[in-house]
Amino acid sequence: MFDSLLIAASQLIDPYNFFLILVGTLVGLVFGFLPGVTLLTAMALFLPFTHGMKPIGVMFLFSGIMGSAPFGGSISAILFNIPGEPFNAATCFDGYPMARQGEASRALGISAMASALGGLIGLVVLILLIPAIRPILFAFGPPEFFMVVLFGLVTIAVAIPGQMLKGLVAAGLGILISLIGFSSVTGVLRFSFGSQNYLWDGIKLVPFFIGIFAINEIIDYFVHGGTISLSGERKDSGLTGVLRGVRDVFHHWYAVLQGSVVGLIIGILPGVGGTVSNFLAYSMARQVSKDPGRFGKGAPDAIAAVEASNNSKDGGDLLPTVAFGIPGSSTMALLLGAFILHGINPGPLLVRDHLDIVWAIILGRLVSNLIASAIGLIAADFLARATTISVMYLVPVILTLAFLGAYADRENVLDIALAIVSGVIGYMLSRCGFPVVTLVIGFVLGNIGELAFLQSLQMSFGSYSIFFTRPISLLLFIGIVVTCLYGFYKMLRERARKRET
Amino acid sequence: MLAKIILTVIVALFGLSAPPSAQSQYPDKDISWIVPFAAGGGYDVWARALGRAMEKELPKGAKIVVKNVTGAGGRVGTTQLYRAKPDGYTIGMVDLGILPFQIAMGPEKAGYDLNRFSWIGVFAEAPWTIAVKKDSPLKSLKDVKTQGAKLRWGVLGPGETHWLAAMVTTGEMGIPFNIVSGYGGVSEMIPALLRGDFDLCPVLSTSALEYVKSGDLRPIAVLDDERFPAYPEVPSSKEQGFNIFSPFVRLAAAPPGTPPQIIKVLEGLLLKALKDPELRKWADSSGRGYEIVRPKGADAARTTMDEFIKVTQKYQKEMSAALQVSK
Repeated sequence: MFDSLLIAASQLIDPYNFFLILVGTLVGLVFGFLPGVTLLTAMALFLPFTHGMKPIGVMFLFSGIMGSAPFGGSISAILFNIPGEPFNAATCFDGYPMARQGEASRALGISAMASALGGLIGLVVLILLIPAIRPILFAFGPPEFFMVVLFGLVTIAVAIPGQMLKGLVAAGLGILISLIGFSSVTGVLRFSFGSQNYLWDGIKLVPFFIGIFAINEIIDYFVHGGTISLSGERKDSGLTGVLRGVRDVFHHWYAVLQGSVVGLIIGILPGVGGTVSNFLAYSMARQVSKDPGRFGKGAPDAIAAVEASNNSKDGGDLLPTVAFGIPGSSTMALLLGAFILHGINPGPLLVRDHLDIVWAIILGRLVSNLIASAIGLIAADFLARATTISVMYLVPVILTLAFLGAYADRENVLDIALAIVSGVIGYMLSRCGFPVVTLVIGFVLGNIGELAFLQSLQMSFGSYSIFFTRPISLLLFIGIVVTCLYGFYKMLRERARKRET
Repeated sequence: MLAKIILTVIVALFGLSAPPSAQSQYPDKDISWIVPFAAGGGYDVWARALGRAMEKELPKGAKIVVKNVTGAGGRVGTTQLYRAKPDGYTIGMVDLGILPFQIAMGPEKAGYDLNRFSWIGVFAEAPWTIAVKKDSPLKSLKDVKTQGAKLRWGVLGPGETHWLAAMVTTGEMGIPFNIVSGYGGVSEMIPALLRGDFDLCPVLSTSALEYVKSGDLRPIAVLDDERFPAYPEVPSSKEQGFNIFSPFVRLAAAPPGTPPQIIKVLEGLLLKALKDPELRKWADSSGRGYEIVRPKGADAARTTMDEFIKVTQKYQKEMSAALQVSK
């Protein structure tokens, strides 16, 4: 196993290959940053150009794109509250408020540092897990997916003190919205409002996110004006902000570690994967945080945990590839497609016959991740200046990017309308005190959860016992119950304490 | 001075009013190839490989540009192809999995009519294999028939090709059809089979190849009259006594109304590309070579379509029930 690692590493030092990684890193940063234009699009765009390149070079190029995209997406999440990639959504929850408080470079610093650490930890855990891949992958089936999703949904509801009812309502609304579309379990087209094709695949994540995050904020800018930084100034110009962010990451090392582990483990689960892991990392970080009340208002450990999970999850989508040669995500699928075009067959024998290519992907991603973080740390101060520019100048740019992003997903003009509608709804909801956080989490987890639930029942010919007879599912269920009880206990204790004062 | 301007305008107008290039100059610019599925998948990889081979015959600089238009199980891309200008500069692939929807809803509401496409050819076909995991107790179609009601079939979703193959199989064998569905693609379904979500599933013989080689998947039957050359020890469904017709073909088509001369050119390009040595080398090394058994042109595509429609209409009632879209 290690001689193929050495082969891959020696290829890395080759100037042409390293150049490819650099190109990939820059491309990934840019495409990650642009909302709606996903890294999948970036890779698809470059696919025709790879004709004639050596397979290992192709892998370095693509892994370069994959490794830097998470951080690229964080930049737009922190500065403009637009997740550059769907999995950057949870970064918005606390990264953007921090920018509004004038500490954008601190947030960027946290993001860059936590991304780098998350990628490293994810890689280490990945290597440790490789011998046991198959048992791990086989242990998680639809009942376990459902329990994981349920855990995510429950932890949001229980963990927001004071807003629990509104949080639940928003989550419920999110779940309802996620159910729109054709169910490939029941064969029924739901809530299509008469359209045959447009809503067949449901409310698409990218335009919905652009609406809920970007358009929502733009409406707010329109109403309030000013600058992204509420005070109009930055509290942390120069290097002080960035360094503070780096120190935050080491201060909250536990959040980083926990985020990395959650990211990797959820990243392993096919179908559940990347978009979900950042929300779960967020929820879990709030559970264990010393200052949970700060979540949503710019809590550094929130950002750290989420950023770490975003970069470690990429290790997760490699595990099914290493185990069976099967992609763990759509970007992996494209990568494997590139393999096929270059005459390499992905499949269970991939690990046996082409382990050096697998290592090339792993190493390429890591290097790109580190380079992207380094660029981030250096450029954070400069990027943070965007928060002191009057929104009058920023809004046209952001709005254009938002509309382009909504359109680019499937080249459908109606998606722009969808984004606008989502934005208006999101704005109205947040004005009435409903947390957008739970709406988004409900939306993301809703249909995944329903699918897993129904598949489980198909597997068991309709018997609910399947959730309790499988050991891991049962374990997760007990964990949910315990979390719930603990949450209630904390809430009651808070109330009791308030009554005493 | 004025005369000069008038002269320039007249000359320019002559230039602009030049007659459109005659068919004999087709193709003289890039051709778009719509793939109704995601980049990296089976259709996509075929399109890119074929596109490269076909480009060799195109005039200098003209390319085949692959466009992935995904959604609704392939219907969004196919509908886009259906509505495109029939000038030969947009072609695409059609997956027969979208036929059930057209049958259930009727072509008006479906937005496309597979009968009306200008077919270019069949560039690949492969039989379905019924596969189980390595240690499954099922050894043959006879076991499947005996176990009948206790078995769960893995499919992607009602109406798509795996579902169709499984439905035809269970229909011909006279056993109940219990499904576990909702997987996003074959790459989600195969691990699901291996971890035991369900008992067996139809899988394309070429897609299954790597897993059969590694021993993870065990084919118990090939849904065809003959055995599959890559694993000749597996008996066909015909040999096992069951007459199951459920073909899988990869079809290339142009929008309805594309002039026959253009179709002839495209058909020629396609068939020539399938003989291209570089493409053959790629196909053999990636296992897709088994799919180019008998490349066929436009007429063969037409016949295959008709046969497939006949078979599918036999199960129209079941399909409308499963795809409750028309309610």
